[in-house]
Amino acid sequence: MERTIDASDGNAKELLRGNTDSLLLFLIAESGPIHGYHLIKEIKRRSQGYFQFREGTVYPALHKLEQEGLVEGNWGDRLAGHARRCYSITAKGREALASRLRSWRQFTAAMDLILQPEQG
Amino acid sequence: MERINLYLKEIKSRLHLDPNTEFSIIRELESHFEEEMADLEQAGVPPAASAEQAIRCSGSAHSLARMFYEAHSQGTWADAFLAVQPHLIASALFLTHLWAKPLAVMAAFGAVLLVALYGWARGRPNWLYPWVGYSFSPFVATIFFSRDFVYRSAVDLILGSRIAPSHAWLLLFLGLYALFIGLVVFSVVRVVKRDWLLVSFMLLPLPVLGVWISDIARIGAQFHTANPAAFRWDGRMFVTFLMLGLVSVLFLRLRRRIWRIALLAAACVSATILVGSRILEISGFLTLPMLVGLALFTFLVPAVLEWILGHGEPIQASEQGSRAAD
Repeated sequence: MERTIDASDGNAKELLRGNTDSLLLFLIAESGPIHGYHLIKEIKRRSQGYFQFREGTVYPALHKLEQEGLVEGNWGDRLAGHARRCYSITAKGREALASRLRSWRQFTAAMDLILQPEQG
Repeated sequence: MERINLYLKEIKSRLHLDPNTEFSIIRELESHFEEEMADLEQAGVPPAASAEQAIRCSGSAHSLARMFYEAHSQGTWADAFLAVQPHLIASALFLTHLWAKPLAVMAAFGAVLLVALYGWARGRPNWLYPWVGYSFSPFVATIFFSRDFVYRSAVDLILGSRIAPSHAWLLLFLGLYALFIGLVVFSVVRVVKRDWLLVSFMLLPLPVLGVWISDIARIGAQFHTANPAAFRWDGRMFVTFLMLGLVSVLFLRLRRRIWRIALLAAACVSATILVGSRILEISGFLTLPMLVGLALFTFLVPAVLEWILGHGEPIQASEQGSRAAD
């Protein structure tokens, strides 16, 4: 599957809005300390190309999560010239992620129930 | 990398954040682009094209800077609480008519000045700017109350045939004027290099105070005055400063820059209308639209100043050290 969310895909963008933070939190929790560029690549890889986030989406979102205390950023290893900023999830972030995942699973389960044709 | 550097410079010019945060953001983006271009070049894309492609994928500098601004600019409720305090102090002085008691005014001003100095030394957090604005109020009062004396003494010195004792006071006042103006200019220039909007936020109460002080000076009222005319403004000033307090809370809690600009512009116009009616009564030529136009012009002067001086505060020494280590 090689599709991307583009400007004309209003439905997908609407669905993604409000869930970007959850995606980022989940991947940061799973991957351990990770920096923005690898996060963007990981999102694309795991979604099989469906999500291709821009830097303009990911980095401000990461900074906002850090402001809220859900992730912690630290200057870490270097790549050639510049140090990279790596993000790891905090205890508060784990709680928020668990709550959001619960809500998401309840939401999708309810949607799946409704969207199935009724028997009989 | 030249193209990337130009792109990052454009982002930085639009960030309007404190210098350490701006430095951190640009540094992070630099490492991102370095890595992305390395991957693209490994995939066979020529360097110039890889830079263009990386920038295209990133989006416009304007929208990227706007999103970083929204991520970082919002103050906490604690910031909003601190920012509203000088407005509440000012409104309390008018509600209780204590502005006519020198001890009360000195205590209020002393508290405002101490907090302003403390916050300035701590890197100018968001909540500081109203405190700095109010700390300029004695400058405004001194100039209004002394201007007649200074004018008469200066004329006497220039046209007179001998030096009089009052000329020493003239020199003292002129020295004070120079000091006040220097401090205000220094503060405005430092703040405008971060964000012109913060200058407008900082200076918001001064036109209100200036109008009031000019009327008080005109009717000859002073501390311990028994002149009832001196207190006729108090209700209106109380309401105006409460309004400015609310504006401060909203300003700090709003994320989007365009709403902040609209809020301050509306506050500037509203405050002018609230207290400016007295000016209209005594002026033979000013009309309300002219007064509002003057208020908006004053509000936008910091924007012009930033355009002239450029954006970009020096970063703190500790960050300069780590930058050199990179």
